Amino acid sequence: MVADRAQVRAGIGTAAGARAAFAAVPVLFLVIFLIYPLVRILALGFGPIAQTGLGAIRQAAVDTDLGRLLLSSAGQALLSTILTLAAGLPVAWIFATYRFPGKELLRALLMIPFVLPTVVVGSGFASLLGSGGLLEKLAGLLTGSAGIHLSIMRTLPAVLLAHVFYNVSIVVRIVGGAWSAIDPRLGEAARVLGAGRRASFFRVTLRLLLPSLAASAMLVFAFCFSSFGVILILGGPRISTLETEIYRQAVYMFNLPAAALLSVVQLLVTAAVMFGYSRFQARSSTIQNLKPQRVTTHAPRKAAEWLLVALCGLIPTIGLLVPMGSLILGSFGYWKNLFATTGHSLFWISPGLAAINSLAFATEAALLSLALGVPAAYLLAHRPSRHGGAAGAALSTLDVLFLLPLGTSAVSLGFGFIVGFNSPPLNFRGAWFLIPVAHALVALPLVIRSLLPSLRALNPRLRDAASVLGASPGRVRREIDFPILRRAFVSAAAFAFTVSLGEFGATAILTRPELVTLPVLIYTALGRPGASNQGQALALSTMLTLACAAGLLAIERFRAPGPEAF
Amino acid sequence: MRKSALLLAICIAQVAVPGFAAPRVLRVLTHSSFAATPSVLAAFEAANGVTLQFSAGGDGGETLTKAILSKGNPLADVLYGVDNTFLGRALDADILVPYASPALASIPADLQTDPSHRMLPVDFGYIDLNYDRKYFADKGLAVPRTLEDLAAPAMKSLLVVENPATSTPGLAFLIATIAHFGDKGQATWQSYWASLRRNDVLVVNGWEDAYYNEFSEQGKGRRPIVVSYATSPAYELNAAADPKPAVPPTGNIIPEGASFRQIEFVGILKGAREPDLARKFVDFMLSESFQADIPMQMWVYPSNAKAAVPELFRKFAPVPSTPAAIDPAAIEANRDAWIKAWSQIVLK
Amino acid sequence: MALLSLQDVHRSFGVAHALDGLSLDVDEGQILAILGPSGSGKSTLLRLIAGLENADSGRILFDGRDMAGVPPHTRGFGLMFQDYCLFPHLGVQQNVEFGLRMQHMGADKRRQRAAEVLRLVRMADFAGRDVHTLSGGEQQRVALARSLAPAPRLLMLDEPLGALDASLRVSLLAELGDILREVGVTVIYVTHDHAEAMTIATRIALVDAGKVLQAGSPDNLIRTPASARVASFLRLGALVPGHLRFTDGAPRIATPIGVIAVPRRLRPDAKVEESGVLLVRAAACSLEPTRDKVETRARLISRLVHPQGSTLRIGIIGNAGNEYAMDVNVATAGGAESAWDPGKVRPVWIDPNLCEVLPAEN
Repeated sequence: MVADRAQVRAGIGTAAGARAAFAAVPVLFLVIFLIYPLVRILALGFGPIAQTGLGAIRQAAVDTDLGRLLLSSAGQALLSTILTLAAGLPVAWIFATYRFPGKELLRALLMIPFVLPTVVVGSGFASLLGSGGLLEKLAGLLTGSAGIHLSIMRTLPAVLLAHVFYNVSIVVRIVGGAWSAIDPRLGEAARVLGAGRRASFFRVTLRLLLPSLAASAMLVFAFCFSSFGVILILGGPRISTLETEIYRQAVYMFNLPAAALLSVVQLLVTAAVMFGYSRFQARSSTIQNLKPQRVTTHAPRKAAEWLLVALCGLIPTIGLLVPMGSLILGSFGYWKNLFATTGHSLFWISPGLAAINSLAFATEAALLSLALGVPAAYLLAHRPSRHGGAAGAALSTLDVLFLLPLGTSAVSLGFGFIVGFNSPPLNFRGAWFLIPVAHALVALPLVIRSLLPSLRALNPRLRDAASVLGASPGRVRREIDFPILRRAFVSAAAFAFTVSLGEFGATAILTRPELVTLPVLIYTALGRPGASNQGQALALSTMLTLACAAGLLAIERFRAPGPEAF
Repeated sequence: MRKSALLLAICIAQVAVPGFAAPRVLRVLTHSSFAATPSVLAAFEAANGVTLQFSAGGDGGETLTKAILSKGNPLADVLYGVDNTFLGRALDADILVPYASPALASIPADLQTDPSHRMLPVDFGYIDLNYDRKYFADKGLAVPRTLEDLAAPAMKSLLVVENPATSTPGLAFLIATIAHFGDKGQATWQSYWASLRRNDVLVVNGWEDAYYNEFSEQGKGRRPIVVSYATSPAYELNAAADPKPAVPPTGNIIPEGASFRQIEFVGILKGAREPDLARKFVDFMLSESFQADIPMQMWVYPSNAKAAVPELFRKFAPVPSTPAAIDPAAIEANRDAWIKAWSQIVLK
Repeated sequence: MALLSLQDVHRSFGVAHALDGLSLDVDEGQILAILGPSGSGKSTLLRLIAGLENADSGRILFDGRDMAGVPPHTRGFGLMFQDYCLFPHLGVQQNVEFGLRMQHMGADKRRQRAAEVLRLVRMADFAGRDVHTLSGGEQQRVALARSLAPAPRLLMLDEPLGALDASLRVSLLAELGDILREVGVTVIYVTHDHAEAMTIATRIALVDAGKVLQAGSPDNLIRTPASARVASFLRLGALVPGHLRFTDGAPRIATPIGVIAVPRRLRPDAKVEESGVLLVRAAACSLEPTRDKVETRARLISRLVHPQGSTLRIGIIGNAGNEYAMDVNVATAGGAESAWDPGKVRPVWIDPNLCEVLPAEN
């Protein structure tokens, strides 16, 4: 009914002013900690070019082979996204449909790659895919020849595999979360109306999943587009992207103008993708009656179902455990060294202290990104969906702004921090809080994106009902939104926590000796020669993995009041 | 409720902890490989009533970039870790103040590449090739001795090098070949690399990747020759479990005139908060006590001629008689072009 | 003084006027039905009263107090939604207790009150249940219990029986009426079904296109509809358009089914040729020939069979071939039911004294 839709759209208009005020805080946060440093570092880069004009820009573009870089960055990102979706969807499906033992553990396991430094993952994959690795041994077994040499290190497939390894959790969490809340009766209704299984899936389920699919695809694309460590180590010298080239130009060549140009191109491309996604997202969201897991999931009933669950669950488990397992195996024997202090005086703090630092920063970053991300998500969720005009465009721009940290070169941002916060009044370059701030910056888009599809699907009349029954707006949020959207909030917190734990770039730039985190310690160990140091790096990575797993399981335990698990 | 209280406690503790520092602090910005024995540093701290605060800036290039970007409000008082491939850039950026330390008297003149004394040499090392002894012994192959040997058919698929675009040893090796072959006449560095390519040279992005993943001695790789540091064999011997073998498992190939000498420098940053202490620290870094500590900590040679060098180095970390010689200014000017040309020949 | 008073309320969405100058009063203890076709702005009205939306202009007064700016959670009203909107993450008990929790009622008192209300709606055994396992009727009752529990001063029901099937609707309607009267709360009951409205309400407001067409007791509306539109919505009978004539000083109306002398005039000052609508009620219609009645022809459109006597829907045929539909009850209209075959045209007799002329619109 026309009146119905209109009501829903305009319904909570009275609180719009308050919401805008709340959302001003994350906007301010982004302006200070993202826009400002970026502008500073880009200005530094573009300064010399501005004097010599456009010709210099064109020259820089040619010099860095901009077209090829763009193609290679976008190409590998697109391929990675497709593969990650393909790998993640079956897992998302079993999470959404079935209850089975080990589900929580698998969910936590999937996120661990996020936390592992790319250098460590690189060596893990090298031991699998490289010379003398598992793949080679398998090939030898299969073909019967002992001397076979098979290495897919430094090839595109290696890069793609690593990307899938890293990012599959995004698809599983976001799509799986949304999927598990879909009312199963909708599919049944479609089937009764004559749609076959496949048609019902495509026309009903997939259509309802579009927002979360688009969100996870966009996130994976953005991550892979600006991927650095994986490209460098697993891609080898023949594969370079905008991000690796930015690093090279800025650090090796100290050619800031070229680095600035590449940063801008990277930013523009990502912003364009995000803008397109944002418009699509608004149009594809539908309000649903979200159902709790008790209703939407069931234990597998037939043998065939168990087999499916086993397949879809075991394959990613193996895919995750093998690289991680090789890391853990590689660390055996070096744990003793970790806690001995001989020879390790500089840049080396007790691993226990580093672990505490990591956990503390991760908690702070998670809280900060939630505090900023939730108001931002609410602002973006309630916008008039079919509304054109100035308001719609302004909100889309805001949407892109909140996504921007994903498209920003980490190198540029890190250097921007040094340049931007160098002098009063923003002279907090050495401040400890800059670390959780930097982490929250990177986590913010993830947090918002995890929340948005579910927020948009929540039936606003539930809020109305609570309101009429006497719940103030804050109470409504606590009593209705949080419990029903618990899955999404937990995912958001989990992402923020994990991203922060594994963050290295900003932390390395800003860190003081006593604030060293586990990833920084890992890089320190790796930078020193010797198998012992390499082994200790692996041991530290294992510690990081355990800390991450513990944190994730703790987050899962956050239950809202009420008997129903959503 | 208790959970949140715990979280809050952790966060507050975080803020409170960094409150403790001695009255005078000297900040030193170094690359991540800097190492020194605590007692040696403690002696300096005690003698001068100061606390040393070290910050790691990443590798040499990154550290320098950070130092340049924070010009005007420097991240530290003292900068260590700039090597001769980046020396030109450091000097051009004008972030250092000159200091003619009296300790320079003990340092050989050919190491003092900066006449303005803004960057003073602390240590040096050589980038050459390491080979896997066991591999060559087992296969009964003759160990190559010159650069030209590496291009011989017998050496096909045996060499792994680092990408000069992303790795300092890689760049150093490239420069060494350029210095050795030049770009005129029959045998140019370009034709050399073309022949290496035909010989199936493997290129990887970083030294760790080359050494730990592709060098056969480390167990996984198939390539028994790797571009590495002249002191690596000595390190391997030192790190070996007891009982230690008589010789290291790896050896050095030091091609005549084609070993690149990498010198590392220290300098005082403009705008340092503690210029006197900074000068004292530079003196200290060039003094015998610190210099003698360098070999076993950082696995490079001390610049101070008077400093004692361990037996291990003398036996297994030889100093090339004629290292490759290239002007730092030339490096700064041509690096980009060289790397581009190299990529064209080897990668494309 | 009325408990709730709406004064000239306007609310539009873009170009659509949901409420176009609507004024209405509700007295305490009344059960007011707001009756109107779909899209007439009824749901919007409830949302405005509840405070979930703001009117563009006009006032809403409750107990004499202007409700503008008063947030919904402080108004103390009850609202039962068309699709019930039970909280999916809470069980039946918690759903019912929700409003009580918001009132900071103690746990014991809450439980007591919830049990009381659930007993009232005959769902006492369902307290521990999961809302997803409930049937439509059960959900409706729980939703009712939930809105009654906090003892609101004004309870609004938005098409509460809309989602239920016909037989359930009939039985629940009676029950609902009993419950509401027992509780004694002031009720605004929104529906599009006139039978529902007439059964449950003490007063009906007919709303269409954002305005109140007529308000009054059910009896009042039936006996004196203000216009043909009202009569049409209440399905009072066949509505035949025509023009006024005065022949020999007596008012007549010339219609496609004949010129009929009507005792009740449109208005004292009604003029000739002014258009009006003739209302032919079922009572005026007979299937047997009678003297003094106007003979006309009608066709059977459909038949609804009841054990107590079927309802026939017939279309009186005008001279241009138009049909004017009305419902007659066979028992009162007389004649043999079997005489009617579907589609067949038969004569019917109309008593002009039981007809009236209405204006087309208010």
